[in-house]
Amino acid sequence: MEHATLPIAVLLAALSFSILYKICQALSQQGGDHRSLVLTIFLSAMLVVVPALVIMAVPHVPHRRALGVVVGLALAGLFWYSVRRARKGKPLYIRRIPGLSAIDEAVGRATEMGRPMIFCPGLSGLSLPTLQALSILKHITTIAAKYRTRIIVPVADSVVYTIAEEISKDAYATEGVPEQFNPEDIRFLSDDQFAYASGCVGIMNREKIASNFMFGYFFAESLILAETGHQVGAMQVAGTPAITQIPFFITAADYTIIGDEFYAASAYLSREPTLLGSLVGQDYAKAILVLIILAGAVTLSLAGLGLSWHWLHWPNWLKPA
Amino acid sequence: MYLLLAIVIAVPLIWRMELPIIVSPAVRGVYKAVEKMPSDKLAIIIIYWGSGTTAENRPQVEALMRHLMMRGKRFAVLAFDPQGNEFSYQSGEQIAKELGKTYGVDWVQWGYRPPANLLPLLLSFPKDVIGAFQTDHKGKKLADMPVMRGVKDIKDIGLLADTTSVGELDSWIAYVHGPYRTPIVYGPTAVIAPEAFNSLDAGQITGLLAGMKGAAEYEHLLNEKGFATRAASALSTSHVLIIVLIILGNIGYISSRRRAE
Amino acid sequence: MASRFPIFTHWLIKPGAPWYAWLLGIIGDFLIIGGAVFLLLQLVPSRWRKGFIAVLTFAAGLIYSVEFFAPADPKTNANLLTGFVQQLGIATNVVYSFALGLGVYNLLRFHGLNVARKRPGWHNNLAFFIAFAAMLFAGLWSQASDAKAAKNLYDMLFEGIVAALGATMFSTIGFFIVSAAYRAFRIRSGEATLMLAAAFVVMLGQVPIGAYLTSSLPTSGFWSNLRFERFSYWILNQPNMAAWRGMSFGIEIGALAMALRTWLSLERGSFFEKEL
Repeated sequence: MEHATLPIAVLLAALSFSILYKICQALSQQGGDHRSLVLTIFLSAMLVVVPALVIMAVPHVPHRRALGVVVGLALAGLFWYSVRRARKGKPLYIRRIPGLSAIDEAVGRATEMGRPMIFCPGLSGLSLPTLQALSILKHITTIAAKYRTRIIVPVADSVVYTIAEEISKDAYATEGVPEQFNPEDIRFLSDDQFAYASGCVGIMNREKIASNFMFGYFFAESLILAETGHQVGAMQVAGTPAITQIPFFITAADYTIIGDEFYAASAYLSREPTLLGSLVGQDYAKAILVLIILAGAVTLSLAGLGLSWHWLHWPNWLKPA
Repeated sequence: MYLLLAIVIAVPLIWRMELPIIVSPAVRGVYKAVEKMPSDKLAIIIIYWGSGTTAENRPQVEALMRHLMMRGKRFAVLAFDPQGNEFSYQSGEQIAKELGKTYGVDWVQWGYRPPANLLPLLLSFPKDVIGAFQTDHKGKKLADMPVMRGVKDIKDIGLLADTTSVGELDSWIAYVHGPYRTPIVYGPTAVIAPEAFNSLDAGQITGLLAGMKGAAEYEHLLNEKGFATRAASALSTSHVLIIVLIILGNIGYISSRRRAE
Repeated sequence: MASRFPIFTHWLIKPGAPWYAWLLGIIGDFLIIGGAVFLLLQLVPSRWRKGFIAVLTFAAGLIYSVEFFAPADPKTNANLLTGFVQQLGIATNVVYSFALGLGVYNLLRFHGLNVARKRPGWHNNLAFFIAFAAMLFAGLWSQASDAKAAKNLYDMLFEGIVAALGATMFSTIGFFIVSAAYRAFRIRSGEATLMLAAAFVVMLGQVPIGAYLTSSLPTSGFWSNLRFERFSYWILNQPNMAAWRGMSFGIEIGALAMALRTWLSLERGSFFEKEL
């Protein structure tokens, strides 16, 4: 199996650090949380150790060991200072995502029409997209429980079925109406793609659903689900990290959450500081990647124009061995 | 609208319209990869599709099998879908009969493995191919088959052809191409084909067969008029119908907007 | 097999015992170890449980992280932890397969209740039981017997019904795409018009008729770039790839962030905050 080369390890470490750094700042801002201290200490230790190891590994650098330790300590100190300073900073801002704002509207529509909703968590089994979809399910089920609106959750995986059932039961119990929870509304249909799609289509037509939520990893059945929802007149909100299925959702659904907005959903809906910090950290990570791409494009273009400086070929260092 | 679509697809299939097929560089890459594969190595054709995408993936598999058999190159078929396993075996039998090839000597069906086994297989088969798979789909020992002679580890695999409707190419790149540089050609359905251009541009895959059209181009290179070539005309007419409907829809939209103004 | 599982089967089961004895022994090992772990968890005070699970989660994720980052032997392409990670992957599959029966149980319960209470449409639920029983019988019979009737029944049900129905459902996508495209592709703005034009070029470039329509253009030189198949290939290979990479970066960084939060037990919301 493939293992990390030094450049990949450094890149991953930089991206991970940027995400954890903002989480740290967000937790520090919130205050009174031991996680902030634990995470700050952990990241400080990483900042001392990793740059020191990297510098020590590079040959022909004078006084490698001393330089590595000094750089590591300096970075850790800077990090600690910025995290403590964040306590006085402004709250983190994220822009409005129309698809996620429409969730409440969709639940309201179903409540007014007196018709049930359906939530399809995708077909990828217990994975990151499904975990994210289940976070969104919790949010929707909590609102549904508050308004006594029925929500049907057909699943295609046995493990996801158990978690979805727990989440729904919990949501109804939290809202003080555990008797409203109907275990028959959480259904395992089939792990076969089109058997699952036909089952969902049948549910949508028989129950005359008013709102259709599709969050998770979808394959070819995405258009079948979205078109059927459109045909029964449901309001549809969809989100998937599967780029190939996004065009189908855009054409058939009312609101579509594209790309990394899907992973921003839990932060957007809950406004939890850890998640907001993580979201801002993702933007920092993307900025790092954009800078690397721009720098690489410029230097390789200069190299292509005939300039013979050796350092212009630094992007080749990022290629796998 | 649906009836019109059904007619537009059925007519070229019944009347056998033929339109010129131009081969793209991506499909040429697949052809060249098979031509370049050393004769003493084994190719593996991965089947990760079911009955739903038979129309797109089965012609790809048949074209690959035909090309390999025509050049006298050995291959094995590994399926992660039970339906795909059956379809690919039937295709292999049919093409082998046509070209006078023998099962167990020129080709072998390793059979169906559950998708949950993909990762353990990816980790184990590069070190010991026969040990990882043991038997073919009928339970016969691979070690006793002439087709597996000299095949010990990943160095004896000359080509990996991944035909899929699921899009798990990243796993093959990470665990097979990345560490061992085994050439990979990719045969996805047309819907997931656009994401493969990344890998094609990066050199992680050598060629790409995009859906039924890719299979039709490959058949053209092999001078074979298989199902994909016949169906390409039906594809053409259905695409033209969709374009016409979109234009009509926009004419209606623009005129209703003007009336409203 | 005894050398792989030295815990209990080594001294409880004699060498030369039939295969099912070893299987029972392995299952027994997992039950005993699993039970011990469960008991240990119950003994942990409730206020420490989340911390305990956070430490376990971190340790489990650390194995994979260290295995990925640790240098590998170029000859074997493995390091100290690679073998362990492989076994862990197999063990994860085994744990996952314990949940397989849950799905079947849920189906049987749901449809069974509908039939028992004779709810509207109960005959459709009865059809589920008939199909379930028929497929189960055909599958088991074809495995247990070499009779031609067994194979024919299995082929008829699997290929004749299951495979055909799957292909039919997939085919409905073709019809749905027509109605979706007709509804959605409207010239509402400049960007929408550009997208529509690109869609037309790519669609026509994907089919032979597009090549036929521009076959009068030269095959080399500047004007050859306007041939549908070349223009379509350029759109897929350049702007499409750039957009795809951009979106992929965003999605994968989002996935990295979520993975980091889950690994370090920083995830909040839904079941992550449940009291244990």
